[in-house]
Amino acid sequence: MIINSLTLQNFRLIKNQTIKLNHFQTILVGNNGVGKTTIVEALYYCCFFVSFRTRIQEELISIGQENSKLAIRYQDSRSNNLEVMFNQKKRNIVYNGQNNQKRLDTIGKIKVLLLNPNSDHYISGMPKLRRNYLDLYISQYDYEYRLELSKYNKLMKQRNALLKKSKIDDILLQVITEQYDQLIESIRKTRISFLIEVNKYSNIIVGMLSVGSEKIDLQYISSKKEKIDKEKRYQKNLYGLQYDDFNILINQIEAKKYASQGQQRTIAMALVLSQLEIIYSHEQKYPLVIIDDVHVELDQLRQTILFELLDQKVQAIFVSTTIDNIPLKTKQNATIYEVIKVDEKHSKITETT
Amino acid sequence: MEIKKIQQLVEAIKILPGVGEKTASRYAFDLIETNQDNINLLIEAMNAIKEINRCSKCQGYSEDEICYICLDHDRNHDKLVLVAKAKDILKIENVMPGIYYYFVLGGIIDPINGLTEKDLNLQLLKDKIKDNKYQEIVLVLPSTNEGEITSAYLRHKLVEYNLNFSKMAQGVPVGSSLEYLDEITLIKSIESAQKI
Ligand SMILES: [Zn+2]
Repeated sequence: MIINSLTLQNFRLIKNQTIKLNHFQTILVGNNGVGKTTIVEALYYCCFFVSFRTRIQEELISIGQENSKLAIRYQDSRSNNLEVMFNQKKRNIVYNGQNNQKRLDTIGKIKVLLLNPNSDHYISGMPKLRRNYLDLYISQYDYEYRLELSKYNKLMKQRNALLKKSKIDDILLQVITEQYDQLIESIRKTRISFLIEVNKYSNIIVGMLSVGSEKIDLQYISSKKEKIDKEKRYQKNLYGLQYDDFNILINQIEAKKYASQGQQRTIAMALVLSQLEIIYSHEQKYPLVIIDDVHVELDQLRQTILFELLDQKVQAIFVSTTIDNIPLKTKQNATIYEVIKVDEKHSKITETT
Repeated sequence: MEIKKIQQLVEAIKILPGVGEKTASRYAFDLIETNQDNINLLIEAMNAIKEINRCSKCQGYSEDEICYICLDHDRNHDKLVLVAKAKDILKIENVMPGIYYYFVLGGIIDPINGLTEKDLNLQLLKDKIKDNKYQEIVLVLPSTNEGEITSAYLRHKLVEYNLNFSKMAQGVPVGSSLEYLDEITLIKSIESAQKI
């Protein structure tokens, strides 16, 4: 999969611009707060149809405007066109000219891996972030998973609503619980086999980045099934996927508590970059890799390894405040854009040579 | 005084689902402009709504205590087709008239929206099953989570009657409701209902 261009219209600080992406490396430079991440957000949004920065779609629309539009031209076995138009009330996803495509059918049409400083939270943050990691990355290539997950989320709410009733029909609760348990089991199975794959590739990447001295283990943690009587008392679901998590061990110890900042960054890189091979093994194509401000803090050796890793085969975008910390070899072949603020409300993207 | 009456009409039209202020106003002004004969037709039809009742046997629409379908002895006595809404019967009768007996559940189980087993006409359904010798229940329910919960629940609740259960065959898109099915798909999926 190669993304040829991205168009942003009334999307945050960008009024109307199209940027062509290099088939290998594109570099976005600019000061903090000028809107570099907006471009990353736009690409991410076209993959998942949610933002990683906000849950409120309205915030994506430029101030004073009503409608936003993003458009991507990309090619895999053919040329494709993906457009998303939205305002406060509605969203229309257009895929190759077909209006009103469902989100579930369109997720992962373009595939994106995002590595930014927040990726460290996969290790140190709340369980919800790790579940998000699982759900987003599996969803990119597994349609069945998306379907089951959406069914599960609805059923979870139904079950919760039923548990709040003062008088509960036990047969109804049993019927819903059976379906609930079936979906939990099936989704867990997918998540666990995904984690096994991630674990395998992560160790290869960690091995490269840490010169072979570290090993990570990923262990899925299933929440324990609770007694229905207790759930009735509490009037809510007390078990399910929303209570699951996974544990990350580095050299047998819990990374969340004991890993150093540097180790956490290495693991985060491994968790994200392992998707390269996983997605490739499922779909025989590589996703777009976005490295937003992460390479800066890496030491020379790991930085070189990272660029080498991506240099060979994938389309990548590097986002940075300065061009200085990008290796010469990458700079020579890349397309470089500079993002600058023209006034309080607008930014502009220009190609530099 | 007059403006008040227009507003009253607009408010009345807004009762219709999916009709907001704008559409309602447009209809209201169209109605005011239309001729007296048309208005009388509408009033007559509106008044007749009060005479559309529910059949005491199947809960389908009927002008009498028992509907023409329940009174028809020349249908398939083995099967009872279960639908969520009374209008579903009309849709099926339209494409394959005179074949099945029906029962209207009155809805599907959907706790988020406050609908539980209490909102189904379960006792009436049991009565109908007792009064007749059906061997099979054909579930024609939406293929959503809620449809599945409802059908699993009914199978548990009706276990004492030793019935076979079948549901609409494949070809019904996930989440679709009966009214969006085209005729051929509807006929096919009911005729080839599969045992569950
Ligand atoms: Zn009847």
